[in-house]
Amino acid sequence: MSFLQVHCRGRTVRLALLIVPALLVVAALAIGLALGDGCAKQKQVAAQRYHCPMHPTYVSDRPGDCPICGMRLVPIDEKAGGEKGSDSSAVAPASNGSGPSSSSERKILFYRSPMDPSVTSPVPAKDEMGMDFVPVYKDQAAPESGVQGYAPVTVSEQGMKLAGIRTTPAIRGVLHRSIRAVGTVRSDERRIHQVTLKSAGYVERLFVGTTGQLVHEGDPILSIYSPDLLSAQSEYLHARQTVQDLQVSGMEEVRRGAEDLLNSSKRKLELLDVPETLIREIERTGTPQRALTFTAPVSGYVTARPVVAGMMVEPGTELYTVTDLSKVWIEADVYENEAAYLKTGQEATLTLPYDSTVQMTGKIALIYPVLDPGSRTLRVRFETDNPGLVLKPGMFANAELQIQSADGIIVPDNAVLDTGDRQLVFVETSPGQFAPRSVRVGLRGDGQALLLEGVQEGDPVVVQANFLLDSESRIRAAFSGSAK
Amino acid sequence: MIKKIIAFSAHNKYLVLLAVVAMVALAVHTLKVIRLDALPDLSDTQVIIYSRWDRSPDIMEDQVTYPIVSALLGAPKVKAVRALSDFGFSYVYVIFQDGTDIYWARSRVLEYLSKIQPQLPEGVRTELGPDATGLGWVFQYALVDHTGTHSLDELRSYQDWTLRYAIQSVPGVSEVASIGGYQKQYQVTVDPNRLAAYNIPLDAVVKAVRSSNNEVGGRLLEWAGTEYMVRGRGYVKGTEDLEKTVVKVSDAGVPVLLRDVARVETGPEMRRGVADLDGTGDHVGGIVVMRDRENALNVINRVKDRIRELGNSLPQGVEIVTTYDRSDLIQRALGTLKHELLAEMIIVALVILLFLWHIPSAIVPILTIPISVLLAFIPMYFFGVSVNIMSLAGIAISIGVLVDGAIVEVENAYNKLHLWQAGGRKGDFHKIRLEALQEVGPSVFFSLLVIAVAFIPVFALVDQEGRLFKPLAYSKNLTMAIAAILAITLDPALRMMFTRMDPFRFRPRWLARAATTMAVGTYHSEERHPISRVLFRIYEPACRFVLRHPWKIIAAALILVGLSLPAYFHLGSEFMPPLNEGTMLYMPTTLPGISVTQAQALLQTQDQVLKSIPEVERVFGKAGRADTSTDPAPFSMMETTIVLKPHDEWRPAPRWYSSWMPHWLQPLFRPIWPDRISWDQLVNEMDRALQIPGVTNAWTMPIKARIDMLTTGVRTPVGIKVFGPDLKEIERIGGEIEGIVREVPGTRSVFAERVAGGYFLDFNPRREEMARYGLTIADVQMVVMTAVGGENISTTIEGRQRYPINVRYPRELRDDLDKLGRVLVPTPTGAQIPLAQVADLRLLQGPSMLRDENGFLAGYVYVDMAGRDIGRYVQDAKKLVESKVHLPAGYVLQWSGQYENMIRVKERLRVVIPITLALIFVLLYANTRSAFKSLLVMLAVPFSAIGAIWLFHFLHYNVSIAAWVGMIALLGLDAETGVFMLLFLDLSYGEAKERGLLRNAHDLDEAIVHGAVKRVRPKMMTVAAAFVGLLPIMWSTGAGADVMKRIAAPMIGGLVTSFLLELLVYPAVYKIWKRKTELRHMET
Repeated sequence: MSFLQVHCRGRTVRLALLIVPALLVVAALAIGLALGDGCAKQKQVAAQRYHCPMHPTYVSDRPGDCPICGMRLVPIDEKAGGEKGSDSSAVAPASNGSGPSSSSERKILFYRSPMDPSVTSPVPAKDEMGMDFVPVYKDQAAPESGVQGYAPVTVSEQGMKLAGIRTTPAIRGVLHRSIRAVGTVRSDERRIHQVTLKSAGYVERLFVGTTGQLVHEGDPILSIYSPDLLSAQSEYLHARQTVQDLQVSGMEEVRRGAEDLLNSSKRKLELLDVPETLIREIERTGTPQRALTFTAPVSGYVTARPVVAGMMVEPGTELYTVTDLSKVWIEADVYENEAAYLKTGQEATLTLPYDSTVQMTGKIALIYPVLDPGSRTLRVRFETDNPGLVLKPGMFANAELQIQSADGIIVPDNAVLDTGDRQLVFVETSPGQFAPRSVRVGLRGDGQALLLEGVQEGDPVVVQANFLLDSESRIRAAFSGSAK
Repeated sequence: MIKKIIAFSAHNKYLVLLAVVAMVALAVHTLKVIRLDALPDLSDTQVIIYSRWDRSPDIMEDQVTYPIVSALLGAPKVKAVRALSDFGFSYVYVIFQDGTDIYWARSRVLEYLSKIQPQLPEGVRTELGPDATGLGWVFQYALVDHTGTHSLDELRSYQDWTLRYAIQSVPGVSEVASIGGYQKQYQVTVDPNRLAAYNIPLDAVVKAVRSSNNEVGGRLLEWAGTEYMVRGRGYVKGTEDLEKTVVKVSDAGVPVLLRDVARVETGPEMRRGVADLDGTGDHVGGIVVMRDRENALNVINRVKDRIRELGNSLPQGVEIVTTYDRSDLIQRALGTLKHELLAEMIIVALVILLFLWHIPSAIVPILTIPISVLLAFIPMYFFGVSVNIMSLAGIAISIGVLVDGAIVEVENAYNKLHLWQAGGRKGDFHKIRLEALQEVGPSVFFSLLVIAVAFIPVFALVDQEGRLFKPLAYSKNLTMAIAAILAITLDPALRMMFTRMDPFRFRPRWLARAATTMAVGTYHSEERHPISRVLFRIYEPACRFVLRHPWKIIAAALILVGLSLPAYFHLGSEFMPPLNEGTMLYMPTTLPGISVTQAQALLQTQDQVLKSIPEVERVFGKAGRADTSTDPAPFSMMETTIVLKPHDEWRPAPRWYSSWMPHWLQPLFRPIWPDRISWDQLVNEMDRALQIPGVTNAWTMPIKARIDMLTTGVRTPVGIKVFGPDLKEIERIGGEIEGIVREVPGTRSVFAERVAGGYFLDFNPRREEMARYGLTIADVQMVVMTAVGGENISTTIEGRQRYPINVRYPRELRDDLDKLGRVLVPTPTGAQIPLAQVADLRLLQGPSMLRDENGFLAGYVYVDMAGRDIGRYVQDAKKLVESKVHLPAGYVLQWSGQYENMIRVKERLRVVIPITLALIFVLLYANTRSAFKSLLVMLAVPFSAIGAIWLFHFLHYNVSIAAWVGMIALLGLDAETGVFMLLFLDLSYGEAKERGLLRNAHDLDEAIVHGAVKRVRPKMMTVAAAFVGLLPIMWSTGAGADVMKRIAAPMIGGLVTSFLLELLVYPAVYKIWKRKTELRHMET
């Protein structure tokens, strides 16, 4: 009986020992539950990692505050990580059979320095500080996708919409690089005529009295009284008379002499620019004209008129300059560093800064052989037609020259993120999946960039919100880096 | 002494009452003038020197920040000079020692600044930041134009030149910062081709613009006895004035005007901050920054009044929309706390009433609570403690405790009177009552003192922790102290008021009965009391069981303590418990380097998404910085203030009672099972809706975010600062240290800061080439500054308004590298050559922000550690780093971090805690007259830790100082209950001994059971009052409730376990002790 009692008591004791703490725990639990905060969260804590929402690269193994900014750490949603590739890992076990997570099965690709991920080794090694290299496994390395420090990014449809990600396929094409030079319209040197007299005389009358007047070839422009011309006329008339008089004379020599005289005096008139019609007029009237009328030798604008009525002119004095503007030159100044790209015959688009409706094309007719030391520029000449005579000498014109061109893969300039050391393009490999590609830009221009490598024709490249993708990619890479 | 005071108060009850009434009146008056805010002021005494200059971070650092920092190093009372150089801005934070007067500090800074100011480059605008911090952002608004007729730059002009000054003149407002919209600017967009064609160098344009905008005075003229003031007019009034500026006169005398070579128009100034309202695009807004140490509530009300006054003078159709208003939070938080205080008082009163079942006795403690709370505001006012969540929380957690004294006194009087009545009414009951009061008076006073003393360590806290928790400690201690004083003055006086011992007998009978119940009451013995009976029935078998197995019980208790330790180490930690401000702040972050356009697009999308969530009332987003030195945010940091609708308008989340319970009943259940979606659910939903690649979301609250950003130093226990001249090298060293420190045992995490992230375009001049053209660096830079950068070269003065004028190349001529290379540089020979001929253009990455500390560039390595003595950890780490890291000449490591503080606090605590413990011990000893008993009482501390830890664990709370404050509060409480427990054990033991009933172990058991069980009521009452008093806090959901929960949780958890264990373990220990000492003597 007493034994039984003792026994019973012992059991009670043990029971009580269990009950007392159990009661306490239950009490605490009850309070906890009553206060509405679930304790289910507790379960996840074990394997959860936390990071600062402001400094995503700070990762901690427990909740708390960020050391940098004091923000509360938030759990990392590892599933969203590009490198976890949620759908690929879901498929993997079936194909692999044994599952990829068992470490013995994982294939080590290479080893990398723990400090500098770019230093790698095919065999286990130690770095200069004696730290072991870290093995890089196949399933880890695969998503690194070639660009160090960047990871591929998976974006949900909603994320794409919010971020405003837009892609454009890369195309194969030709890209030009152009330069813009300022030019001046000049008259074609070959189309400038100067009206001069070959004999001295006095201006009797001006038919073209103002500069800028348009004259046509053959239009009378001025009449001149020139003693020399008058005497030349008289000479000619006299010679003509003599020839007529001697026509009947049998003296062959005399007649020939007179004819020679006539010819030479006519030639003299011709050489003195007396027009043929005038000579015939003189012949008809038989009297020398006191004032001779001269006509315009070419059509064009009178660009200079130093002559005034009554003026005495010496032989060789410029009376008029007539410029034909139906064809003009545009001379553009190109800077030394760009001059090397120029070739004769190259086409350029010529525009007027004042009138955007005028657009012409011109060809480089000449590259001047000498650099202007004053402006440090090389002059280039374009020849162009001047329909409607809109181009007026002295006008400014802009010349746009395509100095380089190459063909290859072209993407919009916006698609390329240039950090200085590295140019990056994001390519949408499959819907919602973006991979960074390191590219080399060959040529840029017209808002486009020609890529030498990294992107294939037809690859959809991101042209909008690529800053955000770039950030995401770097953050993802930092995660996987700190996970090791 | 104390007894004399009690006697005096008892005899002069009316005098005491009068004094108390007078004090209460004073307290009510104090409440009206005392400072109100949501949180205590946390900022250091800090002066910001704010410089603006549109230069890249490294140029800012070299030419502005560094000279300023070095000039300030010698200033008196300066604790640290930290600086930040960002694009276009330099912030130098001069942190003064605690307690330095801010205005004294500001004038010192000005004094030292005046030495250096002449040496700063031309164009740098340096000013002292406002006497405010980011915490002073109390009110924000946006200008909404309903008519759509006002352009953004008009609104911005109105904000900048009218509204801003009107609000800034409100007393207490330090600054009004503008954000968003466009700042109007005159833009002269030159065509380089035309300049080349006219052969005009760019600087001629700059010079022409600069000299076309001025007004002068020609003193005075005197005619006909009148004096005339002479003015030479010539301010630019509009674009036409600028267009007519002559740039050059050709040889032919034809003037070349600005309009011939450039387009003159008004446009937006470079933006470093954009704002968005409800996702509808760019808006103009303002941020009202309150001066430090002001009454936030009053300031906000004054600002609102001013805005109301301005209502009529606003431009047609424009409305000022409030986007953030802290007064709301303050009122709600104070409201919550007031509500909780009231609830506590009522509940505690009910508990007392229930336990005593005697109204005249219960009235004394019930009155004591509000009076001591009220009176506490008087000393708070004089100590400069503001009324805020923390100080009110201090009061809230002391309510349950501060009645203890009154309870014990009353209970004792009650018991004595009951005995007197049961014993046939021998002697004067007045005297008996006074004796009863005097009997427990001193121990009551001492126990309240113990609670106050236990709080001393809180006062040893420094810096932010100190500033955050001292108000709590102050208010709690002041309340306790006042309660202690009241316990020996008011309580006796009040108790003596109810002098009648006989029931009233008059008609009507019901009135007499009511009066009797109210004023006389009936006295019950403990055994007959309904609650006591239940308690006895439960506790007596438990107590007997414990006495049978004392050792096992002790062992079980120790195991429980041991089991709690791992749970403790699993808890996270935080600086401050979360304060639900009711307003959300969404802070998405991208990597640095995002452009305005991208940031604005992002901001608008985010706001649209947020606005589409039904709980959202208003969204006001900000990317980049507002025009204030209190906002050093780059574009990569966006801040969106989300004002939510009242919680009862949120989407319903059906609960178990929603479907069948009548509507009028449901409100009763809502506080416990809210039938609306929770804050966390809402945040989760928003977070899911805003998964944008490249953007990390942070969800916080406005005040919390400002507090977080306030601290500029290292936050982790250990920080290694790498100082040196080159940032790249600093970063490399940081990375190296990161790898090494990771190996030190005890390291939890290491993180070396990465500084790169900014994108740069460098023009590197080639000096040989430049020499060939006769160019100087300055010539080239002038072009970079103007043509590329668009430097502001002059400012128009148009009445009150001022706008910058800038000269720049057209956008399409500087939007790629090639074109930038073709920007023309005028040479002295008159030729203009492309920049690419004399400079290399290079894109590269570099630091987007530079940190300067005491004149050195600095990089931080943040180290978190756990599980080791921090001092030794630092020693080990130092040794390892010294042996492994090779520092180039000029680079210095400095070990810093919270551990400095921790060590300082530790050193203080090393002195303070023993003193505190010793004081408590002495107080306990004075009370119990036994070292063993005093130690036994202090045993309650680990017991309470068990409950505190596990409750934290289950509630998923992180450990913060708030939790420790709660623990410390608990410590006092433990000691108090422990004292009572022992007191009654002793009394019973003494009584038994006196009566000679202690003959063997069984008698001892009986005596202990008698002491423990029969007097369980007062113990239960004090604990229940404290416990139940705290419960409403745990149920409350209002603003500020979370902070209080963190403080109350350890008290609640601890109270339960410590009380249960005290009830179970103390008898066991007491038995063993008595058997070992006294009984053995007796038996032998």
